[in-house]
Amino acid sequence: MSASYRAIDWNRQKRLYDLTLTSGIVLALATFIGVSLMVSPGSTAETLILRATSVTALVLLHVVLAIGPLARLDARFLPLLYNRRHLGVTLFLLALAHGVFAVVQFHALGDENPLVSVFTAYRRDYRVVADGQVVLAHLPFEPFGAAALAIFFVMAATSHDFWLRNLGASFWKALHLGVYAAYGLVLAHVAFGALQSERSLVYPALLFTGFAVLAGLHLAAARKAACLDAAGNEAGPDGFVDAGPVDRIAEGRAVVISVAGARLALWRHQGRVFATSDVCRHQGGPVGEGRIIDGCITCPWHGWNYRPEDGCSPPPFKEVIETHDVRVAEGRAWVRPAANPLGTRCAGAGTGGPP
Amino acid sequence: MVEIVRIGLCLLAAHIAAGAAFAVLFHRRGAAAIDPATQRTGWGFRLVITPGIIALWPLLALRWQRAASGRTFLGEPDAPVAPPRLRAVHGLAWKALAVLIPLVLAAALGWRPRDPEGGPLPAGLSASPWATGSRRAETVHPTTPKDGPRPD
Repeated sequence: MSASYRAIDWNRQKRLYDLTLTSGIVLALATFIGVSLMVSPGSTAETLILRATSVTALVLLHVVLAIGPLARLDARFLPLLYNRRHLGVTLFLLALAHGVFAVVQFHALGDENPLVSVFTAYRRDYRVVADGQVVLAHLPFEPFGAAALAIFFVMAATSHDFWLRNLGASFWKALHLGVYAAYGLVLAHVAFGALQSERSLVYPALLFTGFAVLAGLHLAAARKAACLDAAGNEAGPDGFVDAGPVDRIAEGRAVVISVAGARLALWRHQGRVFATSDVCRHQGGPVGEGRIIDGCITCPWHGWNYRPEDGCSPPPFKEVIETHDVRVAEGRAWVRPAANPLGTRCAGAGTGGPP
Repeated sequence: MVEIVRIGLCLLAAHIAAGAAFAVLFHRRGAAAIDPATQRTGWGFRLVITPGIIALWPLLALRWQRAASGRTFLGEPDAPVAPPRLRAVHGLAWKALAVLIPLVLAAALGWRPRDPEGGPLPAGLSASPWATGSRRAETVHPTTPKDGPRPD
């Protein structure tokens, strides 16, 4: 982290990102409302807002969950990851709008506190089935939505780096893994709610397809990571590990190797090879998938910088990642798995090629 | 059931009220005590972190209290994440979803009414608001007790 916080540190990428996001949301809402009015001209404004916000939020949730594995599978998706927290906050605002309109539409102006009604109303609605038997009209789907909304709120409220620092990165990341619980709750909310009154099988099929696509992407990303870890190298008698031919490291880029469960990034910069940890101090991003820009390793997730020779962020930033000793022999890079003390300056090893 | 929900909502309201009071105090003293980087920050920053302070004030209160005695809470501020552990939790979450979500969808499809036009409801019972578009007319029904009647 730097010496001070700002509410939002705007730059060109963030403006472009948010402009695209806002345009996409407006387009999605307008399309849904337009199509709904064509199909059901009698729909009320409340119903349209309720459904448009819920469908847009559901689609956005799938996008949010897809970005992580997509970025791990293909670097071209990395720009989507850059400002994912704004997607999350927008998702929460859409879900909140849906929740507020749902409470007003279905739970206000009754003889019960609207918030109490959200959790207990299912006990008051009945329907008659074919044989004349009276049964509950629907399952209690509202609590699932309320619980998901609470998780989205906590995630949106703690999206600023202040929370990352003061809750600790591990706790913060664990807290934000709650998005998977929220995803399950949202699907239960939709399945026990809206799907009960829809006769078409298209909607459950779409819901399941969305889940299958997300599960497939995460599985593919996990397999890719497992392959990297399975190819882990063993240390030689001198403690150095063969990291492969130097030629496979492009200038300004890194290759990532796995040694005893830890991932190291070997960088090629101005004719020398450097080795650092592959874990960004910010959110644990894979720095080895980034580039060296203006002499600094740049994490592909949020652009955090580290100097390749000592792992230190340039002033006024204070973050440091570990460096490792490297040597080059017969065209192959060798790296020592044991990290140097934080901030240790390493000269790197000459590649033998032009700087 | 209704009483349990009411008690839960009262506890939530108390948590929010205490969090709002804590947020005022935290902005005046606590933030700078636990994180020097919050000094010289503006109203925009304070506004952005306030909802989180109100929600998670017990964690911040503990952190503030520990910081006053030179101890830490939830680890060192700059401690790095542990990717292998996170990957393991991540994998566990997807395994759980892979089992639960098909079950939820199957249960929802199984529960779905096959014949919603079974006939009119007996007097005193309210229909689903999804069928009527609003709960308003049903919840003010004078014959509907607060916890709702039960079908025989």
